[in-house]
Amino acid sequence: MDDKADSPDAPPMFSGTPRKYRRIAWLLAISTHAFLYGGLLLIEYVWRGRDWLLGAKPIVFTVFSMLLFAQLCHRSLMYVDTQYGRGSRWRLVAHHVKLPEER
Amino acid sequence: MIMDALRQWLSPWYLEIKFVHLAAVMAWLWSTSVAYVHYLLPAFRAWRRNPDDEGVIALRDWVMDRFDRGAVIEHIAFPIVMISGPLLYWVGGWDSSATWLMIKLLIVIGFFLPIECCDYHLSHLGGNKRKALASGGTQHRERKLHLHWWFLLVTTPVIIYFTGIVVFLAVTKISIG
Repeated sequence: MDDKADSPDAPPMFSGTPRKYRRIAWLLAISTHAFLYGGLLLIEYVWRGRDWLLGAKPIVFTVFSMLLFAQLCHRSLMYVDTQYGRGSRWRLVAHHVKLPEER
Repeated sequence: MIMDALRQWLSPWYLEIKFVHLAAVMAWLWSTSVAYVHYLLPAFRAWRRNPDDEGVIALRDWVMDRFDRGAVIEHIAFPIVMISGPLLYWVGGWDSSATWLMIKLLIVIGFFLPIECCDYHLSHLGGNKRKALASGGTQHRERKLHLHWWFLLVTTPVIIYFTGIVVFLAVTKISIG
């Protein structure tokens, strides 16, 4: 066990993990596209009485966009949080610098 | 009656309102991009790889504090977008028959508005890291910083993907349905 992590004074650990990122990507993809499709269905079908949104093309397009977004979202989450994603070009060289602060 | 008169009075200014709207959209969209990609991300990525390095943590905290301040431009531009947008809709005589506009509005109201409300809180109000440090100490600031990092992680793909769609719809006004 890591004593430092258990100590009450230790800074909290960041809770992001690849498993969480995968779940978030799917959740975001499904919820955003369900919201858009549902909202547009309300406007177009319920409010304006137009049924084009119930055809195969809009449904296939929505599913395609959802899958594309899920893929991009997962990649983005993994890439931005370099703990698990790419980032091999970065090197950490120890430097001591004084950062300016406002008075 | 008064509203009709106001609309009549504003209608010759449609293009000028559109100019203000577009300028505000550009400021909202791009004002933090360089800071985010080239300053904030490298600092946070270095921290994620080296979570116990004090130098990295000091740099991360400094960059985050600067980024909170830098978001001011974006957060002045966003209310201008939210005022000029509906004004364009009203003065221009748009209605729900323009499907491209309905999709755009669903994205703006459903995604961007809640994201920006959270962003105001995290950058300037209770989630501000400088304020968190002053009110609750380093642990409190660290928790707020983690929350902000979660926010940035999750909203980055949403903003990139759906902003592209919104700008495409606004420029092409493509016929849908």
